[in-house]
Amino acid sequence: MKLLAAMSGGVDSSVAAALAVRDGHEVVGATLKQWSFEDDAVRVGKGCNTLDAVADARRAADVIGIAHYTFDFREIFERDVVDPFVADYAAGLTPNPCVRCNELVRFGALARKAEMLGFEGIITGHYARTDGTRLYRARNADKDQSYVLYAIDVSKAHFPLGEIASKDEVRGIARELDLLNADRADSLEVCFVGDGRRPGDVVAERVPVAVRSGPIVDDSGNVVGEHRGLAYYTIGQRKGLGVAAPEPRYVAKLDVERNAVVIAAAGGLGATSLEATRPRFVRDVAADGERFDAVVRYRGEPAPATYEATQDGFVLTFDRPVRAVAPGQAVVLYRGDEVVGGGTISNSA
Amino acid sequence: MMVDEPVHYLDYAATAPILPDVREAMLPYLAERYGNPSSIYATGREARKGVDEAREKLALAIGASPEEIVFTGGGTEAGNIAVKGVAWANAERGKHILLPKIEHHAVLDSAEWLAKIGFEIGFLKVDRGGLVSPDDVAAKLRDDTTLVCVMLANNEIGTIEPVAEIATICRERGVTTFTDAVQALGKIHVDVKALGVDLAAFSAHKIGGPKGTGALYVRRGVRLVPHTHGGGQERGRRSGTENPAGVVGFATAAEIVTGELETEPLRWTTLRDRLRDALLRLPDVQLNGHPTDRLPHNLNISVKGVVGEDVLLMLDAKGICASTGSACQSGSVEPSYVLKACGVENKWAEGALRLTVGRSTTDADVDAVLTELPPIIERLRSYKR
Repeated sequence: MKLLAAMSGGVDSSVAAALAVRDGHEVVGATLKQWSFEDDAVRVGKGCNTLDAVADARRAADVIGIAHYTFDFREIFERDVVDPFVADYAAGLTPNPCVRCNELVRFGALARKAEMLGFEGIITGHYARTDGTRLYRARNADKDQSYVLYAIDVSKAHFPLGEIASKDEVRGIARELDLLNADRADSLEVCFVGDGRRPGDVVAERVPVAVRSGPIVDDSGNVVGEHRGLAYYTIGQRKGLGVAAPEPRYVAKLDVERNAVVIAAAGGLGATSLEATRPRFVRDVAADGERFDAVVRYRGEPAPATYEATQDGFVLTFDRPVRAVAPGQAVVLYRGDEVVGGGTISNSA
Repeated sequence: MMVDEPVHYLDYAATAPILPDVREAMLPYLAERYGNPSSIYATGREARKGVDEAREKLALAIGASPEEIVFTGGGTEAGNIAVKGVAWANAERGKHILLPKIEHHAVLDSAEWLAKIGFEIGFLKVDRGGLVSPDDVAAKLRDDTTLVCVMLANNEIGTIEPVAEIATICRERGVTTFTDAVQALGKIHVDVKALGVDLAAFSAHKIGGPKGTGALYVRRGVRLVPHTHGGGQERGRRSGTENPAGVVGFATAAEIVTGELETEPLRWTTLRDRLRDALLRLPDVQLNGHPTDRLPHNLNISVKGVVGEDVLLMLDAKGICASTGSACQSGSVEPSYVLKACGVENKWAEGALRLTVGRSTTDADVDAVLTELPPIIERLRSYKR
């Protein structure tokens, strides 16, 4: 097949492209320029989008022996990922920008461009599996990234790393192929936030009014401290609250109206149900009463739950209370290893 | 994309393949004539001789005197030395610089940088075809204007500017003129004395010479503050050990291409016009740049309803090398600033495609474009954006 490999410059996407070549596909590499840091030359982060990343991807493509292009996706990325990310944080939500990026950018705009240019599919270095109609967890459970892929159109997706059992095996292949970035550390940060910065910094730069200090209150309404701005906090967060208490306190709620961070002891955090919007199903829409293992954050534990559709999404009722259900995050519905679908958490109770 | 397919190179404005005679002329300086031109012993003297002869040859090719040639590390460096050097040298007299927005980035960005440190930039108008008007120059000259920059020919649209007329106006007002002649050399007659400019920039690789080599013509008597200080080479205008292989290659190329000016450009024009006439017959395709005042090898068209970059990628897959405009802007989907300055609307500018023919171009290359391009345009247009 004629495939376009989305290459970030990291080891995973480089090996994915190389494996596709090894499998006999006609592969061309592409790196998306997604973001302009104020000074690309100085800020050399590990994200998907720095000049360094483009250079690394180009070198990897050279080593693999494929053509490589750089596509300027800054406008698309800004509109479909960064702007909603900022708006969500400003609204007291905790968004997952990777979900939107995969849905709207990689397997959205890039897939459409690839099709237009005559490519039959997109290769990424994600750890997940697909047969073109369904989506499954990766063989390597530790690396599984199916959570951030539930919203994509899998018909054009190729994940060569999904069948590989261990990260070491990927690094081994990278060394075998003499890919220079074989030992480069994986990126764990949101790619456009930048090294040593936090999402709240990005929000503060763009919507200063949304990031104001305010009170930290306990579940009885007593003011027990001061916060830096809601965008710096996430539901379930324990560290960095600066509140002295006999037992650990966690962020239970971000109250936008009062610009307050509400904290609670662990016992007061469990949600017995959640509401989700923006429902996406990989193939078949779920049926009311259907049982799923729900995952409410990246690398989160599956929690058994019952599904019921609503007008603009669905409600999940958990068998047992689930901690740290943060509005804005994705909830992904698994049936064993299969990703059936998911949505954006709008509320929990 | 596929290495084994024949390549149709139609991007001579980006660079040109090194001419075989140029390579031959350079080789001794990459081998036994390794000496530093400033050294007194034999191999140094040989290198010096090579540089001196190159300077004479290039001077002859552009109508200058050898001592008016400053060899540089390329056209961009030549442009930087000219713009900044003249601005600084005349700063006490005035800080006003005039140029059109279609100048190459080497000139444009140098001027914009000067604007950040206290100089003032005035922009000259260009018409739809990219032409600067001498009347506009005359009207915009001020008592504190010290430098006027107008390129001899534009790199994207190939428009040939009325540089001689502009230089006459400036000379009468005591204003220094600089022309970027990088794209013009070897395509049209370039005689710096006839043009009457004070400075002119040239590049070797655009005419079949090596990359990383250029030259600046500096008319005798022109004040210039150098920005590379060191051993005082190039009469102190550009210090640094000379590049004998590079300048010998440059001069050899200049000698060859200026010697072919009576024949090659006519051949290019025939090829270019075949491309132009066939492509302009396609629906919603228009010509960019000037219909007649343009370089003989340059075609620049806009295809409505497509993004130029997409066309390039699909042409690449067919072994056809083309460009959307300036090679310096690749990887960006911003429509060309040159077309923007000419008043070309975005919906047209984003579908710009530049095809520039040259010495190796044949009818087979033109045939390849005319076979492959129409279906590519049709395919891209069938996708809604």
